[in-house]
Amino acid sequence: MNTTALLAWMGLGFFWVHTLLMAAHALGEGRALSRRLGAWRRAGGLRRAQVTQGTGPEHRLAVYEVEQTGRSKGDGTIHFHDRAYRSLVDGGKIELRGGAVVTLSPRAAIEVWTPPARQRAKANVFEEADFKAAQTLAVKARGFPRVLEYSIRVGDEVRLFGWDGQGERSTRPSAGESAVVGETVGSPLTPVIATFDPRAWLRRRAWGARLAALVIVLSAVAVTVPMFVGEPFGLEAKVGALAAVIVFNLQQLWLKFVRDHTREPSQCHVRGRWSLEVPRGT
Amino acid sequence: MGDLLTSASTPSSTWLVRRREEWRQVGIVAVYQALILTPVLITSARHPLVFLAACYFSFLNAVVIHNHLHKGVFHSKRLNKAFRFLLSFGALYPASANIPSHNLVHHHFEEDGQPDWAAPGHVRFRWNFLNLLHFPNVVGPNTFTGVKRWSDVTRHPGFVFQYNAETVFAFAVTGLLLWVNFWPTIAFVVLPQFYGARCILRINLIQHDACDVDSEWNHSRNFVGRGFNWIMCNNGYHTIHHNRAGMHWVDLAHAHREQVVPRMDPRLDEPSMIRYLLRAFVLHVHRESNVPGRGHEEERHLGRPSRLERYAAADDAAMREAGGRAT
Repeated sequence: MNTTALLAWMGLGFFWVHTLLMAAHALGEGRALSRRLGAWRRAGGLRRAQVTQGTGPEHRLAVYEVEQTGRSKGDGTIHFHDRAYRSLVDGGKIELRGGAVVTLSPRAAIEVWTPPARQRAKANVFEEADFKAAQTLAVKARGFPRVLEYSIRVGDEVRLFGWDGQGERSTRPSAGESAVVGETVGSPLTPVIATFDPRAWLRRRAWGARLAALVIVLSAVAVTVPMFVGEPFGLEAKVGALAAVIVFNLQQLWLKFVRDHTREPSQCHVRGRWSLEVPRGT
Repeated sequence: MGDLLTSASTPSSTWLVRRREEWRQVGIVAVYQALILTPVLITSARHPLVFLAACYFSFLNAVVIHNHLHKGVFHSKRLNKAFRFLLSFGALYPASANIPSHNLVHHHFEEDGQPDWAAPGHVRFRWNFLNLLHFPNVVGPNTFTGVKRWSDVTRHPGFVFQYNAETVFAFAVTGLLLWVNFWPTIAFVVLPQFYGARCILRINLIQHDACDVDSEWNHSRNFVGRGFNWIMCNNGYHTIHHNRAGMHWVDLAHAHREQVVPRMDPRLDEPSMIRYLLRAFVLHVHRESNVPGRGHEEERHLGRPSRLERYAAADDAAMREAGGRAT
């Protein structure tokens, strides 16, 4: 075997090692979501409940905040990037189905989950009157700061994890639990208050990650097979090798897509943009 | 304090290059180009040792990209931009990507609220060796999607054109070589290109893993071997490079000894990168979790400009270096 052939084999080995690493990473993202679902199931599932008291402004019980900075080159579009995610509790009461009442003290450590699609939709909504002032700041180095708020108020239907049917805490607060959650990766046992039933969302994303791992491996198979069809180092092998170089880069982008789409609702990218060219408001 | 803010050695400028030592960087790139192009054209040059040397010099080519995008090698801005094309071909990615990804985002860690696209926490395999292997698979796409978002908002004149032109050039030359001689190009050009580009990403993990990025002096690991730093153009002195991004690489060794060593946790000075890699990634199965303490930071407020002020100044310098104005 000459040197070029040896190196080509080595390149193929390198491609497969990284294919398997990327597939393992995608599986790991799915497994993290499944672990959260498993923890919920073992603790008795999510409790349906209604907020009956909120001690925050306008009877707010809790809020999920996304701190952002908007930047623009003055072309009529402001692009936002996320700086921090925060779940904050004002305090109040939640009545579980069955009548038990859970009292949340202000600054309790609990993750506030709202649907990611709703978060992103809100990020794009603006009034034309606000745009000019925002753009003036957005073209400067510091950018245009804003905080998106997703509130839970009196009367809202919620799903609760972390309390049993009698309103007692079913999970112990962990040592690292702080009042501002959502800025670090949550443990599967971190209490959650959600404005939607997140189980289907988690299940879909977990399976999506597994499917993505399969796609990563199958794409590698698809480009490897031609390398062994026909004459060694012939035309088919060349096509396979060239495709492997392209697929290798696509796999990495695909893994990024998986990582972005398996971020939990208290961590997911919101970003968004304001553009004078697109329809405004909802 | 004056000593902290001025250059540590006298610049030795020549008519063409900014400092006499820049010829080392030019030489590295020339040797690398010879190592990858010769085997494509000459059969007898296709030897495993040539391949290994090409891989190593590809990594050094990426080190030169890093230094060049902080401070251009040449006095002439046009020549600096032209040099970026050659460097981009060597790495198969546009050298200008370093402006947003490294100079403006990585150098700030997460202090300005923009998550570091190359933070060590992006990989979390239990077997640490896999983190070292896998890191570029995660950080590479973070970088390129991040650069795309940055391109949408930058008012840096000419950045998008330069970035796209470097991309086209790098892929066009590589494509041409593939057309001329396919398998030798795959083996002696594409594989080294990948190796270098991915190793420079891995350096982010190696230099910051288990360090305290909130600290003024303990955010980075330094590799202080003299031979290592000669060939690596002083890229082993990472703490001072982060704190004084505008300082020329030639001055880093002196500044490290004078400014960093008295203040940093001594465990973050590693005599050998190879020994560190063996210890942290091969001999230890699990990731080192001991973040060096903050006990050596009494001198963090010595009347120096604040970290954010220094960042802003470094950003302005980076933009000027890149040939545009600050946004």
